[in-house]
Amino acid sequence: MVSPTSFGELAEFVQDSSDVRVSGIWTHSRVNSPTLSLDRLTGIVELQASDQVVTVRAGTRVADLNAELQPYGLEIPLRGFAAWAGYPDSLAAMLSYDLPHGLSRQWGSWRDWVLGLTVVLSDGRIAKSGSRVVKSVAGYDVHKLMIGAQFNLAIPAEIHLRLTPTQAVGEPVVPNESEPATWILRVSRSEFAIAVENEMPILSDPETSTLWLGHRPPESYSHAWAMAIDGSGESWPATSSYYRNRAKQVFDPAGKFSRSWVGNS
Amino acid sequence: MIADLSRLVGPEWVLSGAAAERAYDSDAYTVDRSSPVAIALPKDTAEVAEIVRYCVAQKIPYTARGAGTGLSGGVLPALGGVVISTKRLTAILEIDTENRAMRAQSGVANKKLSDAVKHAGLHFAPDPSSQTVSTLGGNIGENAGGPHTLKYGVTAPHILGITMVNPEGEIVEFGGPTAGLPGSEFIGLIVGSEGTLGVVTEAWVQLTPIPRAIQTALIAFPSVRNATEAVAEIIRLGVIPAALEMMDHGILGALRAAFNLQYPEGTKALLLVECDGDDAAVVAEEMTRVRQVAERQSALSFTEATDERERQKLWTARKKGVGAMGRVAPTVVTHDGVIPRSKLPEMLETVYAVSAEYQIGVANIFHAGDGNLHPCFYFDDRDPDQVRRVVLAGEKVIARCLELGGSVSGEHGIGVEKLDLMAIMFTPDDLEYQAMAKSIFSDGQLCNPCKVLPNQKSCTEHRKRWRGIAW
Repeated sequence: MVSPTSFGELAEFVQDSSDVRVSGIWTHSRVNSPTLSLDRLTGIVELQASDQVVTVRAGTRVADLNAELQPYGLEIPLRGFAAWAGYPDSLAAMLSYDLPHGLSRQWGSWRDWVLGLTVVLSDGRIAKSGSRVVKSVAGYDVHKLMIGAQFNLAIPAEIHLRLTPTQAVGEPVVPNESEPATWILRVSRSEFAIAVENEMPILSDPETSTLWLGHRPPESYSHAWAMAIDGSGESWPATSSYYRNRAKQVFDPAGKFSRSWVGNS
Repeated sequence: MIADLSRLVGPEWVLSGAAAERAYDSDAYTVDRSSPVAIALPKDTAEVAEIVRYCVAQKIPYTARGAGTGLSGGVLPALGGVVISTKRLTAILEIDTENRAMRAQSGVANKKLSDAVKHAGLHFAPDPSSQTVSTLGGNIGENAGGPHTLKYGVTAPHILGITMVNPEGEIVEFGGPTAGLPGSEFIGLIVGSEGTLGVVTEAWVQLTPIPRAIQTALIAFPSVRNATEAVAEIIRLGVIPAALEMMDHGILGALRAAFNLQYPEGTKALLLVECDGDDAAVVAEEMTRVRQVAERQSALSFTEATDERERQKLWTARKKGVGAMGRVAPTVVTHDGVIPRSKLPEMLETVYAVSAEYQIGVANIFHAGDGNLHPCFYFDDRDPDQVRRVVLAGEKVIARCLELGGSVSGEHGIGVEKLDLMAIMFTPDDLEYQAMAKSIFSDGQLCNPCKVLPNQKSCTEHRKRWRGIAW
């Protein structure tokens, strides 16, 4: 397994490899024989504290980033939630899976926080989209496509992140002791109370109508979706793969990145 | 072509001829004009799809257009092409107040979305200045912002689902009334794509509760620097206002001339601050801290609204500022650039220096909280030398935005206006990366061609372009 420390090393590996599988995504990782670790592509590149923006290497762990930001009164508002939920702990994996957290309605999530993203493409080229400012309409926001792409299209290398003032952020409700959640269920607001009663979640967030469960929920809720977070790759409903396949053909024609999408039909 | 389109949508819904061509040959970026052959006004998604399929079969370029309020030439028709107007796509299709979601056709005006759910204490949060006329489709195309972007975000976070006619003429849907479907999400790519990936005909939008407590203040400062320092300090304190808008002495002069609005003697800048939330005590505390910042920055006055009528009056300076410029000079160019908020003082000094260097008047009105500035150069476009100087001045301003780590556009988009500047902001590999994303949907030949990315093939009709600067 390769652990690059620079863009150049990462790009060289991706260019030369026919099989790029990123390690350490899930607590119970289902990635067999990973070939690439981002654990050494870490560190803050530039912090603009007064603008509440940081540029950081994609392999950096969220907890480490928040620890470095603490003296400045800034953070990515995930707090202890990600640790409890057993989420992937690197920025690259977090944005690649874009999982709900306990403060999504109040403080947004990855599609709000990622202002710009530098990636390594399947042919080894390095490219970026977005910018370092909180508001920009300059070209196509390809980084929005990479969020949730589960490493299928490119490998994140460096991120411009919007930060949140620590003093404004409340605490997400996290169970003190509980079994680990294995599924996320999101329903409509109108069905949230029923879902809580029926599914008896380990945790629920009424602001976003999200439930964290220890079991696979039934597919009986309207306008709902569910996703396994145990690394199994299961989800419902089946979503159209037409544009995902087209995106895959464009960005990874040789099929060297992850070979499955959570949510694929 | 007219006859063919008439068979698709009805002859009364196809416009052609000199008057129609003139009405649709540009948006608010009027320096560049390009006549379409026909303007079609479909009534629903199915008719839009038929028009697109026809254009694809006949190899005719087409451009979707809402209200035409765009400021970068995003809906400039391709020469000899078809404009697909959303003027008849004005239905609100579903309102689900319990789930805070609404489905509407793309021709619905932004403000009408909010008006439809006001009774339920909800609104559509993105509020561009053009909101009384600009459409949902246009807002989606440009990822529109507005004064309340600072707290509520631009259009993208408020779009839950999209129905679009893709460049093959197929009707496709993304997302739906529930947010956050796992996997790669195309809505974020489509929003802000300036109508180049398909024709959006409907959207599910997120509705946001109208805050229960709103406090608005207009603060007069003796210098622009005091005002920009106040902005920085407010943000540093962790206060997140709903809006933080600044107007400089140039705008104040225009407001005085147009509306006889008066401000304290010595006022060089105004800052409009609005705090909102559900907890009145928290909002009051935020405004107290804003007042303390204002005092530390030598504010000349701090006027706080006591009711909605007064609140609207305080917003007058912001909302009427650009329009008031018409009293100052025959022509006004409103630029659009973004810099990190901390660079505001530096950037404004550049703007004033450029204005002096090129002897062109400038007034500044901008979203201070986002670092999104709108320098308004005012001049007489009947004088070609003034025009030349305005162009050069604008280039310098935008170039400085990039030097300070900003972006060439905060909310007006690239369109055709800033095509040349894309190659300054992005490397060739970056532009190729963006072109790859575009190619998921479009080969770029027919669907609103020659926008956003420079150096696209077959754009010969757009080669002669005014040098990438706004009018």
